[in-house]
Amino acid sequence: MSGSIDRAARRLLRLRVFSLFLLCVLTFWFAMIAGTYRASNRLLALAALVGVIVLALDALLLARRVASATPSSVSTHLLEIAARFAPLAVLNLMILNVFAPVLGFVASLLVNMPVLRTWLTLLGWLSGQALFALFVLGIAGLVAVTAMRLLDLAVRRWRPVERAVTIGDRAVVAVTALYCALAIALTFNGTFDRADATEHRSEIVSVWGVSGTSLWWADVRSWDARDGLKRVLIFPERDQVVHTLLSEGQHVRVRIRSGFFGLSWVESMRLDFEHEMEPLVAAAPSAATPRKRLIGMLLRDGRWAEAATQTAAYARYHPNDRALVKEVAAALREARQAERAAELDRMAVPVSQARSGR
Amino acid sequence: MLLWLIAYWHLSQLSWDLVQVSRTGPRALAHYLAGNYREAARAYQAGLRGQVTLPYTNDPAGYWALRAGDLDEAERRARTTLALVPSALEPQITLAELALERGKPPEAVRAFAAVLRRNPDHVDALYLGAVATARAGDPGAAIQSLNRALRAGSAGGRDAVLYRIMELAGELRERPPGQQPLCLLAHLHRYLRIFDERHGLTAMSYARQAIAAGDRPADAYLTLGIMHDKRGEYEAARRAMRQAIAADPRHAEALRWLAVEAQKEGDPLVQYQMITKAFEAAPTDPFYLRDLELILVTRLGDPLGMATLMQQAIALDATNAEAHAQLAKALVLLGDPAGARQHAKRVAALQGRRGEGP
Repeated sequence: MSGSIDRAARRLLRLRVFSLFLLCVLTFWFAMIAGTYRASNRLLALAALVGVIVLALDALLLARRVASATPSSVSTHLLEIAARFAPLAVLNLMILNVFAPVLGFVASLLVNMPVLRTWLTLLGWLSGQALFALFVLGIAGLVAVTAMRLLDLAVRRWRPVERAVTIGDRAVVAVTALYCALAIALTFNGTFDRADATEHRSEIVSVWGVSGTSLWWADVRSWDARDGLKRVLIFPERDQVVHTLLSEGQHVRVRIRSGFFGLSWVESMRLDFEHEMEPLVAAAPSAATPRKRLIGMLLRDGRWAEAATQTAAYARYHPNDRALVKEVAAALREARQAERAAELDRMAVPVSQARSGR
Repeated sequence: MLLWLIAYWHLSQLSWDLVQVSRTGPRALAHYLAGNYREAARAYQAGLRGQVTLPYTNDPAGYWALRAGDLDEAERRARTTLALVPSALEPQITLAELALERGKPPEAVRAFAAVLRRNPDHVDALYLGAVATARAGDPGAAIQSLNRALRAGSAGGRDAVLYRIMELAGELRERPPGQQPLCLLAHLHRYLRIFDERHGLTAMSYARQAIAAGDRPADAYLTLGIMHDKRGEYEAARRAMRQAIAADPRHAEALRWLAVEAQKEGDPLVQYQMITKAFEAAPTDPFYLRDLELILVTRLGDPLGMATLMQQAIALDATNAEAHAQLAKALVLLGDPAGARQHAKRVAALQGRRGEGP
């Protein structure tokens, strides 16, 4: 069994281009995973960025191997087919693209045929997108392979360059392997973590990142070390914020998981406006939602007297909502605040019932 | 490939409205891409000209005749309809546009003002009226009209709106540097951005120049903020909006936009403060009442607060149908169906007077 695996691995390594392509895919995958199980440590939080850099190095290495590769008979055949049909596909796309305004115009006339209209509009639009992507890939590939051919020429002519390139080649593969190992550790740290998340309140100190990409971080005040910082890779889908919404001084709530290997990682980071509840209640005293939230917060923090006062104010503005008053009274009773609970109970009793009880 | 990519990069940002399928369409597009907006607008308009194909019954306002370039026929149709239905707005807009076309801006301004007295939020009248007032030498009034039209979220129904604004922008840009109405140019490019994303940067550049020159800084900051928002730069947008408010604390649109930005962030206090300040800055403008209802009633659960504000609005303008409608809804929530019915009746009476049936 181990012999066949060994043979397969050796065969794969002999496929120099394919093996590096697989390494690129793996690096990309691990860069994504490192972003998913984002560590809150200042250095480990940069794992996704490191992944992108490693991926770029892998891509360069791949271009070099493609440039110096001798294609097999099957690859040669496939390349010949591609070379025969690619210009035709590009030409068709270009023709479609030139006529895209006409397609758009025809689509705008087809008021009663929504399906055909949508298809025509999409066809005009997609032809441009597909051609754009093809040309960008083509130009990037051409530039990379040409650069690598030049490098190969230099390698053949100068020995120090050859040594540097060989060392560089091995270094990139080694760094990629190390990165993948780190990413596997981060993945296991997150996937096998069964501990509950703990929520910490913090404040954003700075927001920084690579413009034009989704690689952005928020440095927030540490909750476990004075003057310390925690770094959070912003994950818009999970945090429900984009980096352009964040700025210095904003309050945040960070949910932290302890991690299977003890490397704490960030489950989510949300903007926190809880500190605004009291001024909001003061500004809009008759508003039900903020006062209810404030009462909930006060009960959670054990500020019983204030919770009772706010509930009494709520009952004055919303006399028909007795359920909330009863709920708060029950919570106060549970917290051994019998006197305050009794006061609220009196407010919760309907007027008719109170009279009949006398 | 590279040339195609550059061409695609420029063209892909354009709306289909700028790719006109007509004899003069390619010339218009070429002028447009070269930045000759005045010539481009004239070529686009020339592309619409031709035979009047629609009979009077299908074009009672004379709009299609005007679009086809038959000014006399357009006037005849508009006047015939006005003789039959003196309150019709569309023929009046056609007559106003005819005055603009014949180089009589003061006459056009009066005609558009008459339409806007009857329907203050008629988008076509606001845009074309802005062009007329700018040509009559009143950039401040033109900016007000543009802001009012743009807040409706519509680019206008008549395709002439785009070409007339493009033509005006082209003419104003050609003036010597010291004589350019910078803030107006920022607003005109803000409108053109609807059709071509690249105008966003031009609008921002003119807005910055207007701020430096002290040309209506609050409006210029507002445009700058909105352009930042459209580019997804929300923090920069908030900063610009705050500066607009610092320049003019009663700038209702800037206050509303800041509420919009606060909503994106999820900040309830700023949202509440800004929308109520927007209402206080323009208490008789029905436009702000829907947003006010959304925040006060739906999000904060404060029908009492909403009812209080609506009573203030009605005290200032008893014919404000939207305020009566909102008050009726708030009274229902407050358990006062009789009061709600009374205000609902008032809404029906006011709408009947304006000729707006269900």
